[in-house]
Amino acid sequence: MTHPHAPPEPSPQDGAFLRCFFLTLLLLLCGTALTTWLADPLGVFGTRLIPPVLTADRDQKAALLQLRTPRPTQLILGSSRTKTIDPRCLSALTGEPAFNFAVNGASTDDLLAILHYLRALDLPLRALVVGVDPEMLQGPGGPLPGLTASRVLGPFAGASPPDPITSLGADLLGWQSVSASVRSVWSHVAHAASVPPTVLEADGRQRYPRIEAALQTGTFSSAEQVTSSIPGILRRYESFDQLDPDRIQVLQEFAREARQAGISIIAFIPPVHPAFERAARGTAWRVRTEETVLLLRRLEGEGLLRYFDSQARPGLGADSTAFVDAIHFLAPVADRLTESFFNRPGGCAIQ
Amino acid sequence: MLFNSYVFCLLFLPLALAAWWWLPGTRLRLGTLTLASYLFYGWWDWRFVPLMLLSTSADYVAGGYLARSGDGARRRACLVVLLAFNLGILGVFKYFDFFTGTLNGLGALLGAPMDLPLLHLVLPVGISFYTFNSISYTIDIYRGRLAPARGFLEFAAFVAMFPHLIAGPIVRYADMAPQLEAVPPRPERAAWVMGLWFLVLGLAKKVLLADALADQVVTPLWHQWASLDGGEAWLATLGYTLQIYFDFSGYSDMAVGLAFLLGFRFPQNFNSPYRATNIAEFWRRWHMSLSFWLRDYLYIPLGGSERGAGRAARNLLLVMFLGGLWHGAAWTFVLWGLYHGLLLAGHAWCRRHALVPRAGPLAALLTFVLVMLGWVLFRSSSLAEATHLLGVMTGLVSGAGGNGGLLGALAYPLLVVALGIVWFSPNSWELRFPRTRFAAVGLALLALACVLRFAAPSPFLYFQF
Repeated sequence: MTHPHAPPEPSPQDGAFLRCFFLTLLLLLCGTALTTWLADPLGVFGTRLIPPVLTADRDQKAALLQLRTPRPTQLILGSSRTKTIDPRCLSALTGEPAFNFAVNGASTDDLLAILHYLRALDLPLRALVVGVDPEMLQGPGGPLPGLTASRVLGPFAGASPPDPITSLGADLLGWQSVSASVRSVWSHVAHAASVPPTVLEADGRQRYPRIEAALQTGTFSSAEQVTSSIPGILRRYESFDQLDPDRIQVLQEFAREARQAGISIIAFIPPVHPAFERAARGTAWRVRTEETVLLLRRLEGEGLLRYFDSQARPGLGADSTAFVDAIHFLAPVADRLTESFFNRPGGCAIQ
Repeated sequence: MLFNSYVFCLLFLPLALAAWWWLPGTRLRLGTLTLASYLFYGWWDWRFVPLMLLSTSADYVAGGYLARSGDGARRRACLVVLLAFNLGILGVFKYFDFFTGTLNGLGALLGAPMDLPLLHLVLPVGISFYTFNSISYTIDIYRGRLAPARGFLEFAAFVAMFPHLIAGPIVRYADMAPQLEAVPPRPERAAWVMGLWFLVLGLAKKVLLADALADQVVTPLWHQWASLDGGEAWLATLGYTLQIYFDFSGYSDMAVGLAFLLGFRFPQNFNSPYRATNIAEFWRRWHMSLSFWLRDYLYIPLGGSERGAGRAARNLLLVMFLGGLWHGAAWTFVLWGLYHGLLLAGHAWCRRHALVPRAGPLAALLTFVLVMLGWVLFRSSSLAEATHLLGVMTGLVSGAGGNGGLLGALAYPLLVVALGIVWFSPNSWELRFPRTRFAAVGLALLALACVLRFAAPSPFLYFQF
């Protein structure tokens, strides 16, 4: 027995319904595609009429990197905790052009995918400065959605490269492109006169202009932000009971490939606010961080990288006002950190 | 080609519909529809297009012979050859490695290793569906209940028609023949309104609910199956229970909607299955076209419930065993089928002894929980995984737990919304679709929300079968 649906009864409203549906859909699709094309937040079309708001930083950074001249030979990689490290500081210390390719929510799969991408670009890479925080080693293994959804890096993380139609559709009508466009347009229209909360510089470095301005006027309460962010960060570690073996393996693969390509790596654990250090004693965060240190030391022992022990330099976080929250630091901490890689206090001297 | 992709929605479908409605003459239109459907199929892997053409040709030729021949023995032989041919294709591509691997495993267990070679063939997508479509055609002609297709084009269009080609509903030629022989010359507006509603609602079920449930609940938890505690395992199973419903019923709604746009009518495939108050009713509401196929071409020919309770129970077990195997070549699917066979046989026994609880919310909840337990077998990639999870869920095994942090931020709201829909909302076939301009704008907005999620299209769960 089958259930054929009874033929629908015609209604005088049907014609109007169909016209209205198709016209609305056409307008919505064209309007959305046009907005994305003009805003071009991922740097796909070369239009970019308005500054992009950070959403798909993997693709935005890839677009910025391709525009850099001279071509960077040193890259800063890591998660959002490394995004404020200043490539100009690195260049001042080494004399080599640098770029910050740290991305939000990075895992070790991002490191490997970015390395593959950089090598596909045939960049004359010499060194990588890599912030490895424990969350980059949290399971489950495999590329995270942010990476697989990246139009540029996704194919380097095992996502099958889309056919040209899907690629164009995703660039014009995909959630990532559209949400970035809408947010960019909204930010441009609604906050044209105000200072933007975040800005991505041409060298990939992320800035927090609104917080920087508030710091100068003394209206930003870093302590309050730090205190309120601590419970949420510690909660993320409650179910994080071990470093994921798959992620560890990917980190090893990343370091081995870099070494084989003659690229040196400086690895470090991004410093945190002193108040967070105190609050996190005896928590899973502390245990996972210590395990990460041991892992990096082991890789150093295998000659795969140079581990810089930021934990042993409590002075790095001494400027407790230079934090956006408990784990995201601002330029002063970033510069001191970079200088200490090369043991050259004051070596940046760029601002 | 996926329904939930830019290439299908923004290119293939508009062109296919334009060609279908603008071309003159039924034969030209059917030919174009068939070609378009082969293109749709070949987009995934063109190497399997000849296989479908071969299967279609064999069934068409055999159907014609069965209708013409009056020789009972030859007709029977022809049917057997054709069934062997169709099931042989299915067997080679879908089951060869499964049975060979099982034999190898058995040999190793008994200390007599065989090491039979595996073929590692790619499973042609949709093969289980179009094989069943074709088998019902030849059996119906053999039984004298159906006249053969008027021409090859009609039959090829029936088998390959893109709306149902990949994952059903399993359509019977008896239902489609009158529609194929009297193709409407012009689109009917009312059918288009209906078609758009079904298509967009189906898309929304798939990309806004099923995929979101997978991302927020099922994938992160199931990945850690070995460390889930009881609550987490129940949560993962609940997520999958809802995901598979919205995924598959979403696909079916899209197929029905596309058929409406082409001027055809497809059968209903889902009828709020999670509101069923017993397991027999569940199977009358879930994947209905398969349930009815198994009933008409397996259960009844085996004797159904006519020859005593024991025979009926045996038949139910056998049919559900084959139904499980149809879903996938793995012991988890076989066990899933047998589990449902046992439940159905148990329900039949209870009914015979007037022990079936009165239909009501508690009976519906009990049925829902029993179905959920079955999905653990269905979703698990190994028997070890399934038994561990079932052990954890029933408290027989303890799990480490602490995986709550893996859930997406929208996990609980999604589960609540999805449960609300499956339990309390009318299904797509019960809805009275509004036809106002306001509704049209709303539907267009919903369509846009779906299109925005096409960037990383995820295949339908039933594509693997």
